Amino acid sequence: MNTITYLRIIIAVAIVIFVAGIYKNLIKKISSILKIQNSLQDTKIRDTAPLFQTILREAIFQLRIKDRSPILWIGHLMIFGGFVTFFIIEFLLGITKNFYCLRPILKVGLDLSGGIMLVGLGIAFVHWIIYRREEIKLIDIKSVILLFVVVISGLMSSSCRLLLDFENSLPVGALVEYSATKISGFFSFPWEEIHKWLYTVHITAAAGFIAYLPFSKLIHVVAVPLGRVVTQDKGYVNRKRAKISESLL
Amino acid sequence: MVFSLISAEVEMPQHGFYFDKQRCVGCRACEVACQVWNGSNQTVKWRGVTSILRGKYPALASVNVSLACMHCGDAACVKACPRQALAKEEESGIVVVTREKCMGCMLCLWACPFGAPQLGTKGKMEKCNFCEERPLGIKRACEEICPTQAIVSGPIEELGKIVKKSIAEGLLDLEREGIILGHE
Repeated sequence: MNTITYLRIIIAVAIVIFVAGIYKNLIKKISSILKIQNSLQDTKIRDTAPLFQTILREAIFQLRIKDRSPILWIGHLMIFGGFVTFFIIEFLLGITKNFYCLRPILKVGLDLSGGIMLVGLGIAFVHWIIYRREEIKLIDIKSVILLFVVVISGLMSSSCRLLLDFENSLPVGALVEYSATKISGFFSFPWEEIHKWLYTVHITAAAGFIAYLPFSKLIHVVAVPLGRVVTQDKGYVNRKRAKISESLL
Repeated sequence: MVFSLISAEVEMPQHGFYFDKQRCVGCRACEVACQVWNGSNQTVKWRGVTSILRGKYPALASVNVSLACMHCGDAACVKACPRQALAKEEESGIVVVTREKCMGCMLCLWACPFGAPQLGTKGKMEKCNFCEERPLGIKRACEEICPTQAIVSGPIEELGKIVKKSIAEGLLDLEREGIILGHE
C-alpha cells in the first residue's frame, strides 16, 4: 500500500470515528436537553451584550483558564491561536494554489503558527510536570502528547520535504522549517526515506487526534462555547429558580 | 400545599430531598449550613433560597423556595454531560460530579430544570453532593439546621410517606368539602 492510499484510508476511518463520537457525545446530549420541556424557552438569548462578552471572554481570550493558572492560560492561548491560524492558512493555501506570489507569505504564517503551537504545547508539558500532583487528572495529557507528535512530526516532515524540493517557492517563507532544512542539508542522511516515515507518523497521529477528539476533553472546543453562550450570565440560574418558585405561588 | 421535588423511576435505591414551601420562612440557614459543612469544596452556593413576592398588601402572595440538586431519578444533567462527569451513585442514587472529568461546559446547567449545577471558581461544575461525608442514615446539613423542618432528606419511600401525610393533614386543616380523592 502506498502512502497516499494509506493516508486516504486512515483519514476516512478517523472522520467516521469523529462523526460517530460527535453524535454520541454531543448531538445526542444536546437533543436530550432540548427534549426537556421549556428548555427552548430557557435557551432563548435575551440580551446580546452578555453573549458577546461570553464569546470574547470564553472563546477568544479564555479568561477562565487565567483564573486557574496564568502560565497555563498563556500555553492554552498559544495552542488555540496556533491551531486556528494553522487551519485558516492551510485553507488559504488550498484556494490560492495558482497565486504563487501569495504562497511564500502564507507559508510564513503557517510556519509561525506551527512554532507558536509547539511553544504552547511545551508550556503545557512544563506546567504538567511542575504541577502534576494537582493537575494529573485535570489535564488530558494524552491529547497534549498526541497534538505534540502531530506538530513536531509535521514540522520535521515539512523540513525534509523542503530539503528534497529546494526549487519550490515555499522554502522562502518558511522560517523554522527553512532553518531546519539548512542544518539538515549538512548531513547526508536518506532524507527521502526519513520524510516518508515522518509523514506517515504525522498522518497517523493527526488521524488519531481527529478520532480521539470527541472522546477526550478536547470536545470542550465545541461544548464549552456552546454551553456558556446558552447559560451566558448568572441571571440564568436565578431565572430558572424563579420560574420553579413562581409556579408554587 | 405540599411541594416535593422527587422523581425516581429507576430501580436503584434513591435518596432525595423533600421540601415543604408552607414551612419555609426564607431564613437562609440552609444556605449557610451547606457552605459551612462543605467548606472549601464549595466555591459557589450549592443551595439557594429564592423568595418571590407578588401583589400588594393585603393581597400579597409570597413563597420561599430552597433549591439545590434534587438528585433526580432520571437526571437530565447526567444525560447531558459529554464527558460522563456526572453520574448516579449506585448505592444511594445521588448524582455526583467527577471533577477530574468535568471540563466546565455548563451543558448540565442548561439541562437542569432547577439550575442546580454551578460553575465553580476552579472552572469545574459544582453541585450538592448530599453531604457525602455524612453517613446516609443521618440528617444532611441543610436539613439539620432548618428551624421549621421544611427540608427533609432520605430514601424516596420514606419521603413519599411524608408527602402523603402532609397532603392528608393539609386537607384536614383546610376543612374543604368535596376535594378528597374526587369522591364528591
